[in-house]
Amino acid sequence: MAALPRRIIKETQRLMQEPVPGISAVPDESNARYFHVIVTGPEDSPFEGGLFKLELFLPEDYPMSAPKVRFITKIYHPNIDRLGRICLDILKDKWSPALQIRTVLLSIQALLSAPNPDDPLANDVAELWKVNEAEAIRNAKEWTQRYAMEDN
Amino acid sequence: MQEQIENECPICLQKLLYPVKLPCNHIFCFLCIKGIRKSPDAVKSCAMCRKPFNIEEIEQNVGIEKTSIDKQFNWFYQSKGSTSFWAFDERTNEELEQAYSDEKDHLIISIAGFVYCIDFLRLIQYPVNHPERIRKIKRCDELNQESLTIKGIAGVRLTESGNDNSTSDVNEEASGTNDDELSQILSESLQIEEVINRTN
Repeated sequence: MAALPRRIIKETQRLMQEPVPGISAVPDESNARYFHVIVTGPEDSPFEGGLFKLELFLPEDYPMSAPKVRFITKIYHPNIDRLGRICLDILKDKWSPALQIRTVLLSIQALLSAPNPDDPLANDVAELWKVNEAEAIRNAKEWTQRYAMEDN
Repeated sequence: MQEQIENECPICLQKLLYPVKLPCNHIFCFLCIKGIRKSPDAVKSCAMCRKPFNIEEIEQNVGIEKTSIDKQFNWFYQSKGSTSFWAFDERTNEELEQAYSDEKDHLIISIAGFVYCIDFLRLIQYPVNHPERIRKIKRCDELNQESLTIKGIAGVRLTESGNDNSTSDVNEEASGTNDDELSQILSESLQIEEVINRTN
């Protein structure tokens, strides 16, 4: 096992010292490259009030490659599929090594505020989002209540 | 994207080491900018603003004074297809020296975005995902007794005249040595082209 690169150490320290409001990212005790993440659903979105668990893993060649991020909590969103995989350009071809865990999680939070059904990952969700947005939002709220509220 | 913090490389988040300024004026460590993955069309783009740049032009414009290589450098790796050597960058050097003095038989370390195995027993290094791309490494604790042709530090060429003008040869997966070259290199003894006299 390689030593932890200084960048990861520094990023982790900064995440602990200056946490991002509405986001928590804590490294696993046995693997400093694996983070337990909780993102709160943004206000004025169908995900408001929800606490969404994600997992984030920094690959061997991070930051030259993007972190791998996945929702663990079920979520009704056109750009997130049933396995929790996220369709977000900065996690793929638009990754830049100057981006950080912090900026990635903020982008994911922003994606919750601004679903993009024209670039879908969950096709059925995206379809409903386009043809009947009101119903899609109702579904998203219901899923948030069912899967992402604390008492569940 | 985020603001650039003064004297800090936005890629490694450390103090800038062998800094290079891109045409867009963003500044990075030489090795960090080398490590940026090429997009499919082989053009690298700035990590801060995504403006494309030509890595070869950047490489040609960086150089360091010969006097920059001093006693702090203990570790060297063989230049591709040649008998000369590059010094490892000072951070990698520090980690190699630490592992060596701890009597480790090998070290897995990330250099310019690629993960390498440094084998202290065989005195070789190779990218862990390309174990055939072997290069010799060398430790020199008393450089005034050692004769090595040194090209520069981690792909940054020495600026003194008399240096060859071949393209920079950073320790990078993409510039791996093929097996024929390698056997040739390994069978050749080190040529003494230039004696580095530490006392000067």
